[in-house]
Amino acid sequence: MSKVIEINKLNKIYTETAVPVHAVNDLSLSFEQGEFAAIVGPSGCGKTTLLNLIGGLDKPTDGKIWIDGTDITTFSIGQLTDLRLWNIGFVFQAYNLIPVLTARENVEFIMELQHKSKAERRARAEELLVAVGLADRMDVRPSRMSGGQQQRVAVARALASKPKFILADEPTANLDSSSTETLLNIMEELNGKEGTTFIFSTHDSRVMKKARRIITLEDGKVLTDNII
Amino acid sequence: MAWRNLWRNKKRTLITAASLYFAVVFAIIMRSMQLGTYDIMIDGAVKSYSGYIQVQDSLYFEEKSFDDLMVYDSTLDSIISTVPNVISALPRLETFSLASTGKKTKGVIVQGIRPESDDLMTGMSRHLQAGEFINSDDRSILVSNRLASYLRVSVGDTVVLISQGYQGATAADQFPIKGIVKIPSPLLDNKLIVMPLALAQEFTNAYDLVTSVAVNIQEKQNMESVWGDVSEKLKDTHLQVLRWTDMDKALKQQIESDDASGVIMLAILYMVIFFGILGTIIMMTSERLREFGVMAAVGMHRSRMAIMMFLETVFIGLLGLIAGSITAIPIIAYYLDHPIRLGGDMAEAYEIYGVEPVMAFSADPMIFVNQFITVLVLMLITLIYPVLKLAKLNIINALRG
Repeated sequence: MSKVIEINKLNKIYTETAVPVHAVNDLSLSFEQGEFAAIVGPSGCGKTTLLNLIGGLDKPTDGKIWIDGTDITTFSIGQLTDLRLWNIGFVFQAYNLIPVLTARENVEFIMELQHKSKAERRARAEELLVAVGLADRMDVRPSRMSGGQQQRVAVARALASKPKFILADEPTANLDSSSTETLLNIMEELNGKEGTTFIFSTHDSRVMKKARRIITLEDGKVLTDNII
Repeated sequence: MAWRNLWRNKKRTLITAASLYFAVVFAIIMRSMQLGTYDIMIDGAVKSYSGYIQVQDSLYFEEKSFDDLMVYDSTLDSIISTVPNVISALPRLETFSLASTGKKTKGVIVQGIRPESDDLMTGMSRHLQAGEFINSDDRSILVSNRLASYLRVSVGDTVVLISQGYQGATAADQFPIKGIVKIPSPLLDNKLIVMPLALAQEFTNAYDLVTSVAVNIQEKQNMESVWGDVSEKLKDTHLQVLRWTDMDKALKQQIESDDASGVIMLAILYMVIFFGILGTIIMMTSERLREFGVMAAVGMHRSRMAIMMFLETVFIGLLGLIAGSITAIPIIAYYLDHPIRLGGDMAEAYEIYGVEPVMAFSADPMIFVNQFITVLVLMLITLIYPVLKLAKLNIINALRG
């Protein structure tokens, strides 16, 4: 298996606060193609910060991150935007769908940014929405969907661009048990079918049960890293 | 997406577009009325009298002495007439005179013209109140309407004119009145007597001489190019080519100052509207910062988000502009054919300044173009805020909401 993400001695220190916070502390990790990994740990241990750094949403204070062998810590804002567009899918805790677009349009949105043809966009969006069990909700806007349905659209959107990996920050935090179960099954299935790497940050034991690798963080450092 | 974003908050979008709509309607109608009234003022003073361009002896323009006349011959006529956009050259002889009829006497302007060709520019024959229009061979005169009332004369009566002729000769004669004509400019209507050019030359002993040659042009928009061409052709002569703005500086300044006050008023109106739109744009931006964060996170470049905001503001602007124009067009179209004729004190005030007391409208397309440009510029200025916000967008903070 090839390494998709490689992190070496990564540090992130927030200096805006009265006392500097060392959110990620000399952390080194790597992820391989097709992993289904969960990053766990108590609140404030650095899970979200780590995902933000891997996703190019934030800049590290120190250290290196290689995506497919390319160091992204030196990238400009524009390069990071392109990196996210072509390589990374995001699933947020609060779904974060675009409210004026339907489920289908939300999924197509990323592909439109990639300048894919209309036919290609439509076919891929429909394929993904069927895969996440929303074949009958394609033309519905987010405001008329349940939280679970919105999160499934978000997963479909994250996969639309055929990214190398998906970063999901507490994706089940706002979902009930039934929706969580459904979402995890879908993500597991897509992980198998599409071969996309999934990396979650979570507190949810149901997510941990599904994960094939669990990385535990504490004070911004890797406490344990277990492959199950 | 930009179009859909507009309708997230329908009331807000409609209120913003409505404020623009009223501003555009007001601005278009106001400018139309101003420019239409200027056209009336210029037509009254220029088209129906001096012409947009005149050729004069350079000394005559400075001194206004009847001794500084110019020779008008076929050479000069062909030089002027062959310039593009020139319809004809109209030689004129103009002098001041005392007009007397029995117990009434008044200082008047006597204008000698070639009636047939001059009428093509001034349209004087259309304003005949009584009698007939003169022709080149007549030995009779036209008297302006108000002057005729003052002198208490009518068609068939005789007016005695006493003036100074060419090179100190005395000019005195009596002329029968062939017609009474209403001159659009009240100032001129009080003191104009018109006679055939040959008769005026005979009266003033200024044979073959004229005070000026008015240039009848195709369209007033051609004035600058015709002025340039004629000036070029006459540059080595003692003649001077003048535009109406050179000849009637008072009218030009009157129009300019009125125009400036109108522009200032519109600027204040648009300033008020601008802050209303800016408020809407600030709200539209602030309430969507989280969404911009998501868009940036999933790979949308900030420049594309700025374009989206640009389209949203342009849509709001176009809504106001198109609706405003659609409302203003029929109003202007109606008043083009039915100018508002003023009465009472207002009419007197206009006449004091020598202007026909009419509020006319203009359908100049530039009125609409200018509103489009103004609104577009305002919209572009309001875009500075969202563009700066997007440039400084911190994705993490935006996602946190």
